[in-house]
Amino acid sequence: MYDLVHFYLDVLESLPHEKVTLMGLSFGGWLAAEIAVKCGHRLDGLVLVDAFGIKISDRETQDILDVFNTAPPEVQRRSWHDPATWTPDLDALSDDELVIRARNWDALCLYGWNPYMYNPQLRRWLRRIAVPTLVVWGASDGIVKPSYGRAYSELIPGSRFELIERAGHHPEIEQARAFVDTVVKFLNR
Amino acid sequence: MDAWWQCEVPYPFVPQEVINATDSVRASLPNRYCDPKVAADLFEEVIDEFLLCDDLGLNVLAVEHHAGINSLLGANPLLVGILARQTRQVRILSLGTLISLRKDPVRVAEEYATADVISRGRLEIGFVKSGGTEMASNNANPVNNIERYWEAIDLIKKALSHHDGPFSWEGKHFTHRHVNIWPRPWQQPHPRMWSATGDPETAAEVGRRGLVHVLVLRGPEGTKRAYAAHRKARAELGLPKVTTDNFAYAAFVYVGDTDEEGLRVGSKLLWFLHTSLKSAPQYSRFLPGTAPPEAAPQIYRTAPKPGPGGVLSAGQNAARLTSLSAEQAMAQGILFAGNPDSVYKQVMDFYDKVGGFGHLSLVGRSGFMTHAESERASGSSRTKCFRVFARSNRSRSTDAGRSASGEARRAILAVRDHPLVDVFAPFQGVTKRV
Repeated sequence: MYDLVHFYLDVLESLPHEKVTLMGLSFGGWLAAEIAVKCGHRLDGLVLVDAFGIKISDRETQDILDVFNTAPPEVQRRSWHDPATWTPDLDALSDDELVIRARNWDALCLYGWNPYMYNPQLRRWLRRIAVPTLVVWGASDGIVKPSYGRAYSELIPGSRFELIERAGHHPEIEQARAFVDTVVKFLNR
Repeated sequence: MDAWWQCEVPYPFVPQEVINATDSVRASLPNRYCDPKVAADLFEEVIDEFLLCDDLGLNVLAVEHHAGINSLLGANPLLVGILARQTRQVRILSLGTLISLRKDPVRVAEEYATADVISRGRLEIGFVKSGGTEMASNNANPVNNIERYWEAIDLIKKALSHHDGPFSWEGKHFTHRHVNIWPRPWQQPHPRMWSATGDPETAAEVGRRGLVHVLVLRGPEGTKRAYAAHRKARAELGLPKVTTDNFAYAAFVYVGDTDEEGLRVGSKLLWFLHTSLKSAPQYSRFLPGTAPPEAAPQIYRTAPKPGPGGVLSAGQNAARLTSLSAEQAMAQGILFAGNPDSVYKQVMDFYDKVGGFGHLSLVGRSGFMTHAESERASGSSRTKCFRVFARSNRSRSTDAGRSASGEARRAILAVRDHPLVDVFAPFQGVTKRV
């Protein structure tokens, strides 16, 4: 994660814009929060979508579903509001798509295996985020629940929390229209 | 050929309906199904069987697996410690503490050095890469497992062989600033090291390092391929050729008075394949890091095909094994069973198919095989096994004696010095140690 954050800081510095709005989804939400803590002066807004990255509950309550140690059908069931429609059919994907999927899966595991999908230090530094922030969550997210999103939002000064109904962990896919409307409204604030 | 007896202390006494209903008999099956009183009896029986091996002069092999019905040996170093003290003559192979699961290889080196000293130099150290369910059971990241594996071996080797005061290790995965273990090992510079692996990449590295290379239930093709990768990697670096003493094979073995008995009782060993390999997809084919991403099209789809060159992933190999009949297992060199002559012939046929190996590990008890069946005091299966392999010792010593290589001659001398060679007289009328 340390490397990944600094890689993205390099990217930010190479952009022609003085400031940008940064959006991170799921694991990418964790990454975006880390970047916002470190490099707020290059941002004019932050959007976190069903984000990982912090520890909220007690030590015996896992905040984020352990996707590596849970049966794949259960992971899919918890990922979507409507799993019947959105669960990917691996048999139908091309070889290239499957290889990309495997690479992503390996990378997610490498970055997030332990502690599982969070940085114990991040929570205490979220107070440094001074840019306008929107935290968006799928109301039916079973990977990481909306209550976690609300707690995340409360740790970022002045942030706004929005639920997207009839969406799971990927509101940008399951309710793309409502998701875009919510984000555009934030951008046009 | 040296023979090694192993029993993984399986726990088969989980109700069949529970096994049928669960998606995995490893990692996630609740331990309420493991009765500690039954487990205590199993440990007592199996440790007695190890001690009987010591009486017979048959080397012993202790494995490690975690959190499943296939094995209660999650704490392998404890068994190794018991064997170090309670056996008196045979060699003890730990195959092994699962080092990529352990946070501190220096502590592993301490355990091994201690066992080597307690046993007065009878320890051999084996390294195993670990399986998918063990990643879950031990919170071990599967993606960089192999990197940790090799680095841990490097650190353990240095900790065992460095005798000049504290040294510092600041590696990619392990850091330890003040390494200076007491006691140092009995054997210098360190006990012989083994590695169990089937995939060609790791096999090549095992070859470059000159470790004893053990293949477990891989059958003739996979075994031959791995041994070839081992030899090729050495040749590419200009390293000395190795003898068969660098190669080992592990299979189910049961020797009966008759073929019928050998096959009937030996078939019980296949419980290990049929029942104890049941592993949920998240611990096997969908586990990150267990196969290169390029293999995903073969692995992710519901009807996977072997990868390039017909190399099966560990998960695919497991899937292949779960439906094997006794006859198929025998045809594939996974089960050697029958009367002493039949078993001898089966082993030597396999030996010839793969180009020879210096060590055979006999997976001698599994599943519902009873203590009595495993022990068989009069006409003991172990004694019979033993006779079978004593015969192969002689046969191979003679073959190897024709070799001109100095290294081969040294290997022969080692074999001749081994207690297995003079097998018959000392083991008549052996009784179980109490």
